[in-house]
Amino acid sequence: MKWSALIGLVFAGALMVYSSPELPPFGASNTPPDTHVSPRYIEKGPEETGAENQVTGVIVDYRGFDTLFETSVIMIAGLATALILWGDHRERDP
Amino acid sequence: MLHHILDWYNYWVIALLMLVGIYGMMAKKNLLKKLMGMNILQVGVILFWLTMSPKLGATIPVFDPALGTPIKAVDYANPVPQALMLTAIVVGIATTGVALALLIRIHRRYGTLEEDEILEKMR
Amino acid sequence: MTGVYDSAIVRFAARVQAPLLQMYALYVLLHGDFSPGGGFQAGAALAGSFLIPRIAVGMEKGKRVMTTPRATVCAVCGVIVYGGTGLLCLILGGHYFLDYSALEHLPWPMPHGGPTRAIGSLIVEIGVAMTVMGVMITLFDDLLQEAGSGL
Repeated sequence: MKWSALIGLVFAGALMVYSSPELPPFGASNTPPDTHVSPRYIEKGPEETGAENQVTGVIVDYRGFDTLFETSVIMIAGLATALILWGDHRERDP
Repeated sequence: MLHHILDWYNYWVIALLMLVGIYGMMAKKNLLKKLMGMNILQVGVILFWLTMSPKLGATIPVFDPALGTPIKAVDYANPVPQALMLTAIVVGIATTGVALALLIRIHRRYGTLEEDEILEKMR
Repeated sequence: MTGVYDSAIVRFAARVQAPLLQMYALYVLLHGDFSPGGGFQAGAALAGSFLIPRIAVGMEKGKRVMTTPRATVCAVCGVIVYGGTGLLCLILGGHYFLDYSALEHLPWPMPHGGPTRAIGSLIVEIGVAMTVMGVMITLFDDLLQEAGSGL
């Protein structure tokens, strides 16, 4: 199992390295992530959201709905951990 | 040749990280080592997104009054991948927490964390 | 008096460091608009300030201020604060959920434009910090339950 996994993964790694020049070079500024929405967030961000830190303006103001559900996911994970271990605690010493 | 390496070396490092993570998930028999492999894979994916955000000659995405009032987008790094990956990091912590709780229950029930011993005891 | 380290130096250092770490976490939270920081980082540092007594003094005595049920309730209250702000903005006449410019219609005089949205995002970040703190303390307590009085 180990040798076949290793050979398969080395082949996949070689494929990834061979096709990496198709991706944008490191530090370029005309890449697809940099051209559609993010120039507007950078240019109008401090005056529309009132936050000079543009990352805070993006996560709390422009994309605030995402952050709401992500916070609820964290809460559900904490409650799930508490319930898994609390049930066992009651089972072991009643 | 050096130009070719300097432009794309970040993708090679990330490919190495992801392959180490997948190898850990596939080839190890201990359940805790598989879980740590999943965590390494997640770190690799998050770093892949983050290497798309910097720009040459740009500063961090906090408004700098010394750079002038009409803000030009070419002066600041891209804040959108950084904002999206904050969510991803915290979801990774939550997943690891729940998985560790399940591993504690498995250990209490079967007494071991090796995959083949657990499969034998389950039959 | 039973902790992992039965030494007076560790207990004294923990007593000095935990309040300083809390002050730093509140500083990072409130300056989230002007410098790198914000809700998530502040929540993690706040959780650290409550975990220092548990490591230094032992699990029974260290849990006196922030017990595990209190931390879980704190986590749930954070999500309620976040959702409540969104509902409040809808009730006050906004066009969509979390439309912070509707906070200008509150009974007391509020600034117009950008600073009102900054106030709305500050309230929301307090909610996020509370949730992250509560979940980190809950995870630490539940995963180390079996260690018992040795830790």
